[in-house]
Amino acid sequence: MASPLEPAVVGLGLTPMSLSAGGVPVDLAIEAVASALADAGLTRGDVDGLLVNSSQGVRPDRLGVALARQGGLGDLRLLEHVEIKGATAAAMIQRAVLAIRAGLARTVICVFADAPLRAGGTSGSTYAHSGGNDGARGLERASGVLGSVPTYALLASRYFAVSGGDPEDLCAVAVSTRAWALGNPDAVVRKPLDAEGYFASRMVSAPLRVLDCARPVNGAVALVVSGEATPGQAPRVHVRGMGQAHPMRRRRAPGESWFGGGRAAVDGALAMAGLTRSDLDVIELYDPFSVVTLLLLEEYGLVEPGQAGKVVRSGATAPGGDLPVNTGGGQLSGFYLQGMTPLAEAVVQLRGAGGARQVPGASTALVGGIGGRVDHHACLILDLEPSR
Amino acid sequence: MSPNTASPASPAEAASPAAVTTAQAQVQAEDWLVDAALAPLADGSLAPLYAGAAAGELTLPFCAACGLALELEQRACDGCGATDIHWRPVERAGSVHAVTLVHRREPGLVRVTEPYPVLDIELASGHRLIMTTLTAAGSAPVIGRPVTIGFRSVGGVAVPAASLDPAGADAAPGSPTTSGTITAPDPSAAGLPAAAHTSSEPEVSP
Ligand SMILES: [Zn+2]
Repeated sequence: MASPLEPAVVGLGLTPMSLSAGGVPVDLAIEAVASALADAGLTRGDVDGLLVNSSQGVRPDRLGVALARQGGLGDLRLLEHVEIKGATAAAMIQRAVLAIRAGLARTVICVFADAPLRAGGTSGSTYAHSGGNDGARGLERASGVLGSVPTYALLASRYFAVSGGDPEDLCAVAVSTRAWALGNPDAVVRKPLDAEGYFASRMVSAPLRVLDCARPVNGAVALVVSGEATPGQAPRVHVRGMGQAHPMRRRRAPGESWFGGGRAAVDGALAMAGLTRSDLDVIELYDPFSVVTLLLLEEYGLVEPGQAGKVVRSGATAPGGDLPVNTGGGQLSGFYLQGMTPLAEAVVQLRGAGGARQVPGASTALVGGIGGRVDHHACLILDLEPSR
Repeated sequence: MSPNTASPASPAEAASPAAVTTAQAQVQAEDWLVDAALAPLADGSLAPLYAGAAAGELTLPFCAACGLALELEQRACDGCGATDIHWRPVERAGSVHAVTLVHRREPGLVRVTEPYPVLDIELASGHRLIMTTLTAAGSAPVIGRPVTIGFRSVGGVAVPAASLDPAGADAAPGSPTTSGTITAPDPSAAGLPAAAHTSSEPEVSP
């Protein structure tokens, strides 16, 4: 029997975002789930579905479907570990909505937790030592490609060559995103930033500086998606459109290897929603590196080709601008919890709960999640209005 | 393991001073950039590439049925669907497709004290392959610059590396014979090709 209402996000729970070592993913996940259920006015007994998103890579404490058992949930009708890298969070919401519409579940929790910060090591070091020595990754590591930053620096150099951008554009993204973070109590970096401060920051892999890189945290986010009437006070946030794109770009001439092909995800989501880009009030994008914000603004057709830098430098994406982007400080200044970062912020904005960083009257949001090397795209159009 | 990293097989190599270096010296010399702990798995999924490199050849995968250049980890052709993959030597020449100068130097893994280049090279064969330079280079070449391909030796395994020397103006010539590297500046074959898209990149993160 199908649920009585259009499936919607009815609960949101965030743990504190920690910049220091401590916590394990399963405990963080349980904490976020409890918070999301409380927010929705539900209890564990109301839940019949659980979707789990873990950080990639082989880790002994990797989150999995065992969370259902460990977290004290009851019998479930839907339980899956979803995995398309950084695009997973948005994809989990898609999965939950489809399951509810199909009558496979009524109330589904979607959760991600990660704890990359360990005692005695920097996050950069943690990532630099992972990857192994086989396959293409092994060859790259032998060539000095350690961690993700050099790879995205290559992407940035190629993007500049194709789109005409330059480091001033990266600076504008970092500054704009930080300005949003100042109004978000959950953001982990809330110190004002200007161009001088940006250019004084350490170069990691040219053109990317440390302030072009996301801030890993230990933490978790959970959302409750339900087709039932729920007692939570917050407005229901409907999933009005959704789409994915997995462009099979090849590492060979003459096409681009590092980007392109993601637009279909947004086009599909907008078509499903019956909306256009001009209907979008806030844009929440996966921004592990500043250059990705520029790239996605163009790739998703939110600005004209080659104009992303100019648009960001104009202040349009910053607080008070007419194209608000990553309004919680994104992954750069807010917190890096992969696809949950843009997703959680979109829900906050549509609920009108953004406090100092609230975009007045925001009722329609685009959430864009990417995975791999911008290989996977999962998008949502969230809206206060249901689609049926 | 220590494959013979130094036997330039290309005829064009005969006149190269680098070719004179003995295999023994190559194996023992340390790479200019990374610690031997980062030696790739020579008999793993890219075994043909490393076997070729040990003989001074740049060996890359093609579809055996239609000749399309494939990615390093591709197991079926996206052009025709064939699963028969043929690895063969390609011309050791290409140009810079994307470039970065890496400033962060991971302690224990990276040996240099200055920033080092990482290049995405588009080969004449069409493949794109990520590599560093043959010898230390304090600056990064510009996109579009021609390069030739030689080999570094990392923990006894030969890996492709870009030589800036023969191609151009701002090159900073190094002496490959003293640093565990082999220059292989000459073309030998052409094909189409593929560099590696790693499908397994984990976290996107600093
Ligand atoms: Zn084929």
